[in-house]
Amino acid sequence: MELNPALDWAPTAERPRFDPAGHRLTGSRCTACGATSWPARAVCQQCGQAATETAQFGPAGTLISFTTVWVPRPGLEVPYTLGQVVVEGGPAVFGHVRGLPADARTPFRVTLRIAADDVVPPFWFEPA
Amino acid sequence: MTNAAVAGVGMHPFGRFPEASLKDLVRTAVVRALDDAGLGTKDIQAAYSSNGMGGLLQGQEQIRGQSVLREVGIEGIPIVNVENACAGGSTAFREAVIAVQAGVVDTALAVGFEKMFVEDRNRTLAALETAADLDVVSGLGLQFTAVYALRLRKRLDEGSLTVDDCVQAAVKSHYNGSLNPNAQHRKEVTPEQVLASRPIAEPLTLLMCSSICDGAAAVVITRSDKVPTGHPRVTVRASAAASGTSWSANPQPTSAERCARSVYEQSGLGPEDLDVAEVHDAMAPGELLYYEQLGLCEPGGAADLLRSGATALTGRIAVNPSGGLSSRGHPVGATGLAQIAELTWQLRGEADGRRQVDRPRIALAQNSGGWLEGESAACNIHILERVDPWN
Repeated sequence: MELNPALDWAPTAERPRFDPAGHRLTGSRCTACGATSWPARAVCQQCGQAATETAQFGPAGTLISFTTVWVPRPGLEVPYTLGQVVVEGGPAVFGHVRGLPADARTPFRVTLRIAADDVVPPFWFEPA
Repeated sequence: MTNAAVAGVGMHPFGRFPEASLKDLVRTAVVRALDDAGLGTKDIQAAYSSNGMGGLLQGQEQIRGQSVLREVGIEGIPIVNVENACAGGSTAFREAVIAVQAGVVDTALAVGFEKMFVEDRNRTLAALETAADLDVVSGLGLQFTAVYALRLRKRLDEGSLTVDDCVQAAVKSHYNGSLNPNAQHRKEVTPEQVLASRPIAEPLTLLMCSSICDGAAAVVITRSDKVPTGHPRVTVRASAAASGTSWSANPQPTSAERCARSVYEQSGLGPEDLDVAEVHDAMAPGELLYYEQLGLCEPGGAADLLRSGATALTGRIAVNPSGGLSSRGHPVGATGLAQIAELTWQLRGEADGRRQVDRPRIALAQNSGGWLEGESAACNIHILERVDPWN
């Protein structure tokens, strides 16, 4: 198995993680088996091949679980909602969900939003 | 392969101990474990030390094991520092067991310790967050309460669990904890109190969750043919470890499911053979999810199993007689070894405080830690066996 292509990936800090214009996540997809990852990886977790390439996921997504959190953290006002979302074309990711109706049940269609500025959190989901 | 046995166990009680340093916590646990084994510090040939956050919270980033064990005069021997988030304790135990089984040493010590109460609670919460990949979770406010809540939400939305089931799991946990002198939370609670306690991460309320905790636990492991006499003999029948895998569109077995399959294969036993278990309920309703992953019931059968009373102290398979993580307490690096201590006391018939289950012979410990976007990052499962017959 040829692993050397993994050495050619840019340092992790230099890899794009977001596509702000398209409101998509930038990760990787394995050209050998199709497994996806966010953030991008140099070697595929599913088939073990260094055949991953940059890929875009979203902006559509399906919320598969969520919880409203009431314990404050510095910089985060409560309550805030955390959710797990399967992003179209990609894996399940974890992020904030804004504007979720009180009676929402999973699965629930959401759309990804990427912040224009360098803020925390850098992305979140909203009802589609 | 040489058989390994649990020769001695000891704990520093779990709770809030502002006057106790990491060394103080370890001193109590190790001295009690050695005393229980009838051995001295010079009998220990290797030590495996588990701590999660002493680097971030106390500043002792390196050689934590060597630094705390010198307080009890243990030095010179190989000391291995282990970190595997909330599964660190069982990881240290497993490594000590492997060293004995391999014949590298006759007697090893596994010790776990944690001091989570510091002057600023935000430092503890930030340290806990490092049990996930920071590239993924930084700035999102990940809390492990939310991780469990996310796991439960799917089941609530499916209708296979109800909020009342979550409440009843917490009531059971607090009842068992109320009987355990080493537990952090030693008060019985009513379902009404659980529901009325403040929301943490919906559907979890305060009384369903483990809290910040200090404590230590230690276990002495020896060759089974060299166990000092004095207690009924408890051996390690099976040991399995796994790390978590990434989310996949095709659901994969969890690390706990994979470890369970392995220990059942190794031992030739099945879930029906278990008499008592300690499972990783950092939030009390998590116990329900592990009933299914460990095969104690069919998928979807957790609520029925709990309601049947089968997992109560008096049931067919008592689960978390100690009160579990949510009531005994969860000082991260010590938890997996506290589980082994509890099961050893149970198998010997030495559990005090009216929490002794009826003549158990086979026990299972499941300890999981960290988070990889849905799945635990690490898991260890052990099966312990009482070799001597009950009178």
